[in-house]
This record gives sequence, structure tokens and C-alpha cells, in this order.
Amino acid sequence: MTTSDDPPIRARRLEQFRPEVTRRGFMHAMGASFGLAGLSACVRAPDKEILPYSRQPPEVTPGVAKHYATSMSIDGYATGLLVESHEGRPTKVEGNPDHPASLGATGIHEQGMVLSLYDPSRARAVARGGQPARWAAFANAHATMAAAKVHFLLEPTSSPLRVNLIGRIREAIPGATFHFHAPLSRNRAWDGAALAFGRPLDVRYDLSLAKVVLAVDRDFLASGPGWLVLARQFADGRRLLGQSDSMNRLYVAETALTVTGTAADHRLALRPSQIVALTALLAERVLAGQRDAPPELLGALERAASPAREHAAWAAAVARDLLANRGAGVVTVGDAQPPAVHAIVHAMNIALGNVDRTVRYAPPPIFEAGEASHDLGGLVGALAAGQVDYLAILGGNPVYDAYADQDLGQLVAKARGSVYLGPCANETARPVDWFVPEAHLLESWGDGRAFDGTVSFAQPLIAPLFGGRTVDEVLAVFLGQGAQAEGSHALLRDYWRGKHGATGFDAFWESTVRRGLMDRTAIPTLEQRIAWGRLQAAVEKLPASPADALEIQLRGDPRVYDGRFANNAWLLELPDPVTQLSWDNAALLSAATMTQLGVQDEDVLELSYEGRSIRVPVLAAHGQADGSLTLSLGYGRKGELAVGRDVGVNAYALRTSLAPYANGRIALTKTGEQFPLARAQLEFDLHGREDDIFFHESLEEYRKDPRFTAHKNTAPETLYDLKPGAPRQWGMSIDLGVCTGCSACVVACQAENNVPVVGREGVRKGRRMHWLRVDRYEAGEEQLFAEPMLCQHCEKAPCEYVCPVNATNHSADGLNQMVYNRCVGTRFCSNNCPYKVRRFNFFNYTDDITPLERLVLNPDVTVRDRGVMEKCSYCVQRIREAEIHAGVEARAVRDGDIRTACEQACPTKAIVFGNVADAGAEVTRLRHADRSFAVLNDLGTVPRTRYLARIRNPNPELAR
Amino acid sequence: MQPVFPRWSNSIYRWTIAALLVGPASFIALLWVLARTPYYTGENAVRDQPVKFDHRHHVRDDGIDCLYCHSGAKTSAYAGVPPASLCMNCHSQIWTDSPELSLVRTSFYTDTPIRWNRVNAVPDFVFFNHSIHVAKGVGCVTCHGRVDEMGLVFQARRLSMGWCLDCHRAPEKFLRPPDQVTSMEWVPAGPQIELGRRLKKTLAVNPSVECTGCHR
Amino acid sequence: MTAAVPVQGIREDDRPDVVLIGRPGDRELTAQLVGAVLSPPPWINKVLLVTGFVTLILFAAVTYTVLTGIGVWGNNIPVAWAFAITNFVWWIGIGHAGTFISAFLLLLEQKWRTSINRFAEAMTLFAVVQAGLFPVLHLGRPWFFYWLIPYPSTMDVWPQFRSSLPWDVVAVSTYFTVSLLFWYLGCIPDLATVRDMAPEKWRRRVYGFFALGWRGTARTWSRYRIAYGILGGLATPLVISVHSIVSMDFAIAQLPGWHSIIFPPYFVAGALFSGFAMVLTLLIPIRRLYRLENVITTAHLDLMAKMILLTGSIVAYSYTVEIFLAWYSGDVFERWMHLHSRIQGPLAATFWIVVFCNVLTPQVLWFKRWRTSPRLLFVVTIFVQLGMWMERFMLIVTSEAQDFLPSSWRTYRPSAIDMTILFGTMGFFLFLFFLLIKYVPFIPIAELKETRFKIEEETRGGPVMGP
Repeated sequence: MTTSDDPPIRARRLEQFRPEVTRRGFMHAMGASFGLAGLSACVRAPDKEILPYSRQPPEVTPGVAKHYATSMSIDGYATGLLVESHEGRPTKVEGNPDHPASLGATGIHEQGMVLSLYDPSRARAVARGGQPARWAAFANAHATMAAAKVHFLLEPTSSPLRVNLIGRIREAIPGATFHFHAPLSRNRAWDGAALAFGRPLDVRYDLSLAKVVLAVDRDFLASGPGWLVLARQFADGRRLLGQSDSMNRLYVAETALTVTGTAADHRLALRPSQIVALTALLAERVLAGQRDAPPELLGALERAASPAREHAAWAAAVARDLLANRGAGVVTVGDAQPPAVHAIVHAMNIALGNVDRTVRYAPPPIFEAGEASHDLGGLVGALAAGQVDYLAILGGNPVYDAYADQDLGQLVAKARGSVYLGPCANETARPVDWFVPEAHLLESWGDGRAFDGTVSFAQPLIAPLFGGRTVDEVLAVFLGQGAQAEGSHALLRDYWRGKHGATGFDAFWESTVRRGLMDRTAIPTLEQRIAWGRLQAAVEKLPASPADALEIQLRGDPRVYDGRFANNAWLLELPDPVTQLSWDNAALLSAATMTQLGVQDEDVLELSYEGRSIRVPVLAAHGQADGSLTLSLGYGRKGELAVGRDVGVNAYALRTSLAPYANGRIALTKTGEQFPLARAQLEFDLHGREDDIFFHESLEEYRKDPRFTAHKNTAPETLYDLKPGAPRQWGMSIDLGVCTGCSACVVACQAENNVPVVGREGVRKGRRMHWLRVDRYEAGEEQLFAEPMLCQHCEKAPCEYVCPVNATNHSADGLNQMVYNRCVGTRFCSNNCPYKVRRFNFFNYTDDITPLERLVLNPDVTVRDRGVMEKCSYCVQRIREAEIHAGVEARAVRDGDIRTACEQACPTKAIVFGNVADAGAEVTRLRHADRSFAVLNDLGTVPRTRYLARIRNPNPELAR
Repeated sequence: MQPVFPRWSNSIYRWTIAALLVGPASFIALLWVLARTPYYTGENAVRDQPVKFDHRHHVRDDGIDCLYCHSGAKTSAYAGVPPASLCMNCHSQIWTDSPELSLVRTSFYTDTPIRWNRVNAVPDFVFFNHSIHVAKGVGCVTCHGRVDEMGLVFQARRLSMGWCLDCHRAPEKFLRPPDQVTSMEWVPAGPQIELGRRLKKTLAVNPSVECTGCHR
Repeated sequence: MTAAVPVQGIREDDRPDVVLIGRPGDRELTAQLVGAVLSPPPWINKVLLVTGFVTLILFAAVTYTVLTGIGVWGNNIPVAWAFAITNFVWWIGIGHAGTFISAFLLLLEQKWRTSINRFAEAMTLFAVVQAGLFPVLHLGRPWFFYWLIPYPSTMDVWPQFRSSLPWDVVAVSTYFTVSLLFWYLGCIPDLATVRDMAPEKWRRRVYGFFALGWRGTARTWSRYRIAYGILGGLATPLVISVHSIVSMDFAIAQLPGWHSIIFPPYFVAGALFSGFAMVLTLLIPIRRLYRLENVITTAHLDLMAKMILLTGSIVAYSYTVEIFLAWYSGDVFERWMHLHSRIQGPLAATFWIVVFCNVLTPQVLWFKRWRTSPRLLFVVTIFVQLGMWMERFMLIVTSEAQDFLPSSWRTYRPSAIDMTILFGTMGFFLFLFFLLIKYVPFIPIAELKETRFKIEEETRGGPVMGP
């Protein structure tokens, strides 16, 4: 195949494949692929076998999927999940509606996580010096370390069990030292709180009460602890269902355009250095009236604000708006900003009377947050000084993502012994003596705490495929039992029995595991008073002169985060929610800056700093601050990665402990080379087609004329009656007013519907397979709108009458059906689809994937063969299943019984699916809401998917 | 000038022309027929099984209900082949050392599945669901035939798409009271059509004839 | 063509109204025309070798495509159709002049048809062979092409008759069948002539086999005439129907640039335009190489040039109407397509090539001395071929590349396989064509004698017995 150079196709076949895996779930995956075997209609279907259980687990009914509660922690903050399992084979992740950090929603990382379980590059055995070894050998070798100076390097954790283990180890091994490292740690936020209040704190927001939100370099709608909740609250605060509804207002100041930036009513694109200044400027305005704020502070702020003077008008207007909404505003700042800025923002929230209303402070759930143990410097020092007997790196990938100037890769060798617990033979696995494969989340018992402290449980969906171990299990080894150390299940159970007490423990355990969380375990918030003096001192240290050189911003990537998802084909193929760039990372520049530098898209720049340099292609980015260059971390991975190896460039090479997020002293040189970038969308201009494609209006105008869409969005008269319908008529409504474009729906759809990955070349050639895509459209300088685009299920579908073999046609309940096994692949339907939502299998994208990777396939959905067309089916497998279920129970299908994958994942509840023939259904209500419109309505396609126009809430002072 | 060809070549021509006309037509007809033969549909093809399980004995003699072993049929898409553990419910008591059952015992004690040969398979790309059919009064015998008279089970019906549609378009011809679903001998008291119409109404039987009813 | 071609014919009496020069007797004519078959020029074997090799490459490319999937082409979403359908429409269009000349002009009793009809008809067949390759090859799953044909399947499903594609299958296959029979029927008497005149035994046997035992009795001739007339009558409407249906492949869609009611006549005209061009492209060199100036006279060139001018004008008119309607409709999408995308978009070059080749070049044919200059005609026809291919490319690719939602806009770049297949079909076409030249009397001998007889009747006003 010509696509042999495509990463997903290149995935290596597996040598040893565990038979019990096949028994558990293979029958189904194969069932789907057997379909592919029946290519020609002229041969008899091949004979098949049936392998029943020999001892059927009581809870399993073959063919009936079950959901289990678990939770996923990123940098220590847990999010509750429900995972779908087919005969013990996890295939799909949903949010846990009961969990305070999920509320039933998920993000792209939660959705993509299940794919990593079946990652062919996962390590398969314990290894010592590169040679396969046995777990027992490892465990026994590490049972007796009481005398040694053992340094543990963990990811930040909130797990009560792990904290307990750490405590016990500190007793057992006096020389033990613990370090916690995450490349995108929250240290600066905690230091900021310490600066203001004398102790590290997390801020908890209640956006449901917020009328005005100011986000300073903070992408709270798509990242950070509890972002799913913030997104929901923010959306609820601007979900307009009538003229009289009120709506919150969002101001954003940031460097590169983020999902939050695209949702803003007013956005200011600033270089990193200016962001600090702007915060000072705003604070100066806000604190002016504050009695207990010392006047010297205002002076210091004024000085620090000088680089942002040009934006004085903007700042003044925002400050006025915040002051006008005392107690109903929120000022929030990103983790990348220096502590002083965090402190300033705390002061602002206090001055605005937001504290105890929209803003609260609580101790972080993270163990030893803000303490020295969270700074890698300590470990680096000890290693350099040769004071480390043994180094245990449990989880994470520090050699890859530690600061370049700390050069951990070399230092690890200085420890007299070392072990690494990791997912695969990655960067960190190289220099260590022992390597232990890490169990995937879906193979692990464990616990953690949500952003609000709620204790959340993680339970395994499947036995470890490759004998992986959890961090807790390895820690237990160091307690001295060696190979006798308990497994994670026993550890967890024993710990919580100890906490809860034996009486009624089983019931408590059952319910906690079943629900995935423990009620009433949230960490209470605390009153705080700010130390003005310390704040002033810090502000005086802020630089008052603008950096004039081009400033480079390093940020966590929206898709691969800090690099931990860099081998996940779904997330790599997912176009960046803002730039629509798929697969690689690129140096984002504003158009103006590009002309200034004399570079074009895809030109390769060389960035060098302190003797390290990387070569990275350039991409013009909408809303990028002039004079700034933004580069995502997490790419350019090395090590044995089937998919992610050498995808993009490793920006950590430029990241130093002194300039971790922004740097004005990086040298740029043009190389004259070109690198082909896989851009999923090339045209962002609407070409004056607003009234056909994307309706948007200001709140003011909307209130004047709530039905403004109806006037322009009319369908032509027709001679034909629509098909006489069945009692149920499926339809969808998408609220563009609250859709942030976070793309969780895209990955959810991919996971639910076995959507194949086509690789960089495929996307470049315009052959991406996503059934649901998020289009981005420019509207002026400030706005970049998001529009989820999927099959509209037109009642008069242009695709249907052109298909020569009737492979796509209309069902009585209003679905535009696509029958893969009838399709001969003329592609006429795609030509005639005005929405271009139909996807074509130019190659067979699934026959090269390994048996392991096959296990992720959803057995309820056909795996498509090459040469056939496919598209969004409104998750028809869920519809039919619900109908059958209702039929068996002899009842009607209720509103909410059926939720499409995209709807279920959506953090803001922008997508609503249901029976439009049911007057009581929510979807019906929304479709008849005054903002409702249909895309390309004047073509007469009568789409079943309708949209709600986007309403912006601009500040009259700033609206021009 | 002497002729290039002998006289009889004329008749050769005539035959050739005839063949050109008839040949393709009959070839197409052949395929048309082939697709309907048991060879192609797999009807009546008895498949050997690792364990000589005899439905005649278990169903007729012992009167075990279909759903005792194929319990999935009530609740799941798959009727399911019983796990060895289920066989052992009885066979840990009776025929405990029968050589016929050795494979079942090994399967149970070594926890390795028995590899049965699949008999009834709907065409590829079909998502068939047993539970709804059982709930709506489609008898086992309607699609599987008189299993109680089969030594080794064979596919009793065509199981082609056209065959499915015969019933989905006119279910009343086949419906029976839900409590008679597993019965092998049941026959309608009165005319089937009237009973079928009544059941269709009372059970709200409304079978899907949409593509996505079976192809997803 | 190295040797100089006399611009003004070769005989003093070669005037643009004379379709047969001199008064060659039956023997003379037969000798000249059968000679081309019995003693073919040596260069033809080399030509066959080269074209045959290209044909092999074509088959290789086709096999590769079927084995791996059409992802090896440059197609994408939105440009789901590209080279394959462009080539299809181009070849099928070229295939039109043949039937027009042999059937249409037969019914209109045009004398000038005689000496070129077999030639043109054969060209039609070979063009349709090329065209027929693509509808099957461009399918995602070619092995299921038969699902487009209505037949009682065990699945109880039928084709979608509202789509134009099932009709395409019928139209093209009918067209091919009728053209083949019509052409073969015309050949029979001449094959018999070759049989009777061939010195070698194998020739006599082979040609005798295909001559179906033709004896040339009065009875045979009368039956033959009737059959020929009937087939001619059958073939004539096909000239219109086939390309009208092909045009529906686009007209029934609502894509800007396809969604147009003028397509059927516009396509038929375009087809004849390219068809006549192709006849001339092949005829002019052959006429020279075989010294056939006496039977394929300046009159033929002149008349066909006029046809090109006529059909070309219709095509040019259609372009204008398309653009006008787009502007007049006020439809934002149509306007964008015709007033921006095609004219200044990423693929604008094709539009301007089309205008130059199909609208400007034919204008030289207003002048008789250029219509009658073989060399110039040859150049013009080459331009027309290019122009008409580009026209189809513009219609298909440019329209798809920028449709309703800007988010899905994308341009198109053909792959090496695309190119191989396009030029491969050209090689295959020429290969078949030169096979014909070598083995079949490509100027209908019997009919020509008949025509000569008619001419003499008219001039002398009375029948004359040959020889």
C-alpha cells in the first residue's frame, strides 16, 4: 500500500498475544472483521466457530454491554468515568454523572484514553539492563533497602492510599526522599497563593453565579482541574432560551488563541510579557478604590503596567465592568503566569467582593502541594552530588519532559541503582537499570481526589494485558515484603478498611466501587486574608520594560497535553481545536509577524537557545499576538512508539527552569526547508455566507429581534410531501452559543463508531474519516467561531437519489441510512452532499491493525471495508438498541433513553438529540427556540440537525 | 475459385450464433439458481460437533426448555451456547464418567472453551437480536426448525435477507403467543392469520424494514 | 508528418465539392484499397509494438488500482471524482462522431460519408472501449459493479432508478453493442473481397471466417441493405441519448457548476465537437501515408471542418449561457463558482485553456483556405482534443473543489497512477486503431464503388456498366 509510511498502518505486528484476551473479547472483534472476509457475494460465507465461556462469570451476558465506574487522574486531579465493557473488553469511556468533576461529560483525553490500553507499543515484560526479567526477581531485589538513600520520583498525587504508602515508606526507609514532578505543574499557582495568603491554595470557582469573567492566559474551558464543571457552569450562564434570559460576559487576554479565547466576547492578544503588565494595569484600576490596599502597591502596579499602556482603554472598560458586577465576577489566571500575577489576581477578586461568592479558596487535594518536594531541583542536586543510592521513577516520563538545563537523562546514571515504572520503552526507560511495565488505568485499582477533594475510586475493567503494575504495587515492594507484597486491590481494600473500620465495610466498599466516588469527602473551603505587604514586594520585582524581541510561548498541547498522549492515534489525528492542524505541532505566528519575518506556512524555522536547537515548521494562526511565537510541548517523542515517534518536534529542548513558559531570548533562523503539515481545514473565511452557514448576533440586537434567523433562513417552497413518518422522528439541535469547539465530541464519535485513522498523509490529501468535525470560521479580528458539522440527516437528502444501488436511503423514522455492505463506492453521494460530511474509505484502513488494536472496536458497529462510503448515523446502533430494549420491556422509548456519543461527551450540553415528533422532548423545544436555524436551508434539504445561532455579549464600551 | 470452407461449416455458424444468444442468458440463470440452492444458503448442511450433543434426547426425552441452555435469547442479542459449567449442573451428577462428556469435563476443570462449530449464521453485516424476537412471539422453531428432532443440529431455513423480509413484512403469518415461543409442537387453534393479526396488535409488533434495523 | 502535404489537393480537379477524384474503375479502386491490407507498410508493425507496450502499462496501472484501492489516485473529499470521470466523459464524447457520420449521414444520404464512415465508426468503438473502462474502475468496490444492473437478488433489493448511473450503464452498453454490430455488418462485403483476393491460404481462411460466407448475390445484397438501414435507424437516436444521459451524471446534482439544465444539448454538441476533431486527427495523417487523397478529398476535410465550427460555436454559446445564468440567478454559490472559482480560483488555468482551445482556435475555420489545409486542420483538432478534456476536468474538479461550505474546500493534484491511466488509454486506443488499419479495409470498398456509380449516374444522366 502506498500508505505504508502512515504511522497507524506502520504499527508493528505483535509477537506474543495472550490467548485469554482473545477468549474474552476476540469473538466480537472477529465477528466484525469476518464481515470483511465476505467480500464477494459469489462465495459461501466461511464456516465459523463458537467459543462459549467454560465458566461464565455471573454478571456477564454475552452480547449485553456493562458499564463500570472508575476515575482518571491527570497531574493528581481525578475525573469520574463510566467505562463500557463487552465481555470484559473495555471499548468506550463516558463521564460519570454522579462525579463532581465530570457531571457526565468527558474531554478528548478521557475519550482517547481507552485506545492507549490497546497500544501495541506497550511494554510487555519486566526488564533488567534491557534483558527480560521476572517480577518476583525485581520485588525481592528491592525488599531490603531500609539502609539506602532511596529517592522516589512520582507524579503529583492526591491518592489517599498512595499518601499512606509514602508515609509508611518514610518510616521503613529513613533515607527515603520523595519528589513529585509534572512538566505542567501547578507550582506557580500554589506559590502565588502562598504569596498572597501564606499557604498554597487551590481556587474554586462558581461560574454559575458569574456575570463577568476575566480569564488571563487561562484556558478554563478546555483544560485544568475541574474544567468540565467550569465549562458546564459557563455554558449555563449564557444559554439563551428567550429574550429575557441574561447572559454572562467573557473577557480573555492571552497569547495564542485557545478554546476559551474563541468563546470570548472580547479578547486581547498579547505577548507573554504584556500579559503580566495588563494584569497589573487591571489591578491598578480595580484596587484604586480598595481601602486596605496600600498606596505604594498602586504605585508599584502602575510601574509594572507600563508595557501594556496601549491597552489602557480596554483595561479601563473591563475594570469598570468588573466593578459594576461586584460579587458576580470572576478573575482567573493561568498556571503559566508567575506567582506575583496569581497574587495580584487574588487581590482583585478580594477587592471585587467575589470571594465567598464566585471564588473560594481551599487546600489543594495534591499531596505536599507547593512544597519543595514538587520542585525537581532537589533531586537534580542530589543526583549531581552523587548522594543517591537508588532512584525509583514511578510513572511519568521525566527524562523526556524535565527542564532541558536539568539534563535528567545524564544524571539518572549517577544513581547507584534505578528503576522506572512506565507504559513503554520510552525516553526514561533507556538510562535505568530496572524497567517495570506500568498497568494502564483500565487495568488498575486505585483512588484519587477530584479538584474539590471528593475521593474517587479506580477499578480495573480487564486483567493486566502485559502483567503491568500500579505505582502503589511498586511502592508496596519497598515496604519490605518483596514478592509477597499485596496487589493493588488488596492494598486499596485494606487501606480503606483501616479508615472505615470493619463494621459495614463490605457494603461501603461495594457502593464506593460501584459509584466510583465517596460522598461528603470534598475538602472544605477556608476564609483567607491577603498579605498586602508581601504582594507589594512581589509586584515591585516585576519587570517594567517590555521585551522587544520576538517572544516564544511554550504551552501544554490541547491534544497530547504534556506528551503523555503522544502515542494516541485518535488524539494525533484530531485536528487542533483552534488551528485545525492535525498530527504535528508547529510554530504558530500571526500573519503580520510572518510577513515581518518573511516566512510562509510550512517553512521550517530553526529555534536555538543555550546551545540546543530544534527545527519546526511555521503555521499562520488566527488571533496570535503579533511579535509572539507559540509552540506546543509534548511532541517529537523518541523511544519505541508505534504511532507517535518523531511526530512533531520536541519543544522541551528549549524549556529551561528559568524560562519554562515564555522566553524572549531564543534565536530564530530560516532554514529554507519546507515541512508538509496536515491541515484539516484550509479555508476559514465565510465568503459572505453567514446567512447560509453561521448565524451570529449581539445580545442587544437579539433582544430587539429574537427571531432574526427566521427572516433570512427560509426553506424554498416544494411540491413534494415529506415522507409520512413513523411515531418517532429523530433529530438534533446544536447550540452554537455554548459550543466551545473543544472537540470532545469528535473523539467520542471516533471511539463509538470505529472511525479509522488515516495518518498524516491521509489528512493532508483530504481523506480524514471523522464523521463529526468541528469547523472554524473567522468573523473579524476577535472571533473564530466553532460549528460542529455532521450528517444533517436531511429529510430530502441530496445524497439519496443519486446513489445507483440504494446504499443510502431514508428510514421511516427520519434517519439518512448508510448501508456499508450495499455501497459500491461511486462517491456520487459525497459530490452531492452540500455539507461534505460523507467519508470515503480510500484504502482498507483497518486490515493492517494488530489483533490487540482490534480489541478497541465497538462490536455494535460494522468495521467498514475499503471502497465504501460512511458517515454519521446518529449513533443508530444506540437508537436500535434502546428501541429493542423498550420493546422487550413492552414500553415506549423515553426522551433521554438515547444519547448519541457526541451528545453524551459534550461538556456544555450544546448537543441535544431526541424525538422531534415528541412535543415534550427537549430537542423539540430547542429546535423551535427563536435562535434556531438550519445550515444551507435555502437548498431545500430540510436538515434534521438544526443549530441555535451564536449570541455574543459585547461590552457596549468596547463594541465598535 | 474453390470454396475456402466445406459446406458443413454453414451449420457450425448457425450453431455458434445460437450459442452466443443462449450462452450468456443461461449462465446468468445458473448463478440466479445457485444463489438459492442449499449449497449456497447452507440449508440442511449437518456440521459435526466436538461433543456429540443430541437435542432429541435433551429436548424431547428430558423436556429441557430451550431457554435453560440458551438463556441469552430472552435478554440479549445472542441466544448463546451454554458454558461447560451449565452442562456440569447435571452431568456432575449423571453420566459423570461417560467418555462422550470427557471434553465437557476437561473444559470445565481446565477452564478452556469447547470449540463448537457454528450452525446458524445470518449473513455478514447483520446485527440480529434474539431478545426482541422472543419477546414479540417469534417461535424458536420458526427459524431453527424442529431442533427436537435433530441429532446433530443443521440450519433449517434459508436465513437470507429475502427470507427475513418475508416475515418482517408480514409477521402475522408467523407470530405465536409469547408463552408458546419455545414450544416445538405448538400449532394455532384457529387460522394463523387471525391469531397473528391479534398478536400483532396486542404485542405491538412492528418489525423494522429499515436497512438500519439490521445493518449498522 | 515529414513529407510535405500539398495544401491544395493533388489533382487539378480536386475541388471542395468533389468527394471522389477521377473516375477510377472498380478494379482500380479495389486494388488500391485492398492493397492497404494485403501489403501493409512496414512502419505499422513498429507503431503496433510501441502502442502495445503502452497498453500493457495501462493494464498494470489498472491492476494496481484494483488491488490497493483508488486511494492510489489523487481523489479526496470534496474532489471525489476527478481523472476517471473526466476521461470517461472525454472518451465517450469522442465516440460520438463515428455513429453520427455512419448513421445520421446515412439517413440523410450524404455522399461524403462513404469513404470515412468505417474509419469513424471504428474510432467510435475503440473510444467507447476506453470510456467503458472507467465507470467500473472508479468504483470503490469494482467487483460489485453488477449491483447497478436490475436483477432479482436474494436480498430483495433493487437499483436506485432515480440516479443517472444505472441508466449510464444501459446507455453506454447499448451504444457499444449497436455500434459494433453496425460497423461489423458494414465490413462483411469487404472482408469477403479480401478473402477472395488474398493470395495466402491463411488469409483466405481468416477473412473467410469473418465474412460469414458472404457470396454477394443480389438476394444477399438486398437483405444486407435492409439490415444496414434498420441498424442505422437504431443507431441514430443513440447519438443523442448517450451523452444526454452522461450529462445527467452532473445535471441531476445540485453542486454549483453541475446543477444546470442546459447540460444535455451542451454535452451532445461538445461530444460531436471532439468526435469530429478526433476523426480528423487520425484521418489527416493516414490519408497522407496511404496516399488516399483521391478518395478522402479536400471536400471531406472541408465538410468536417464546418461541422467542427458549428458544434464548436454551440459549445462556446453554452459557456456563455452558463456564466450568464450563474450571474443572473443571483445565487451566491453559483456566482462564486462561475465568476470566481473557475476564472480566478486555484484551478483557473484550466478555464483559460478551455476558452483558448474550444472557443478561439476553431474561429480560424471560418476561412475556406484554412479549412482545406490539412496541416492547419490537424493542429486545430489537436487543440480541440486538449480543450475538451480540460473542459470536462473543469466541470468536474473545479466545481467539486469549492462548493457550499468553505470549511471543506480543497484543491486536487493527480497522482502518477492517474496520469499513467490517462495516457495508457490513449496508447490502447491507438493500438486498436492501428490493428484496424493493418487488418481491415478501412475505406469501405463496396460502398465507394456504389457512390462512384451514383456520381456517374448524376453527371452522365444514365447508368453505365462497369468496369
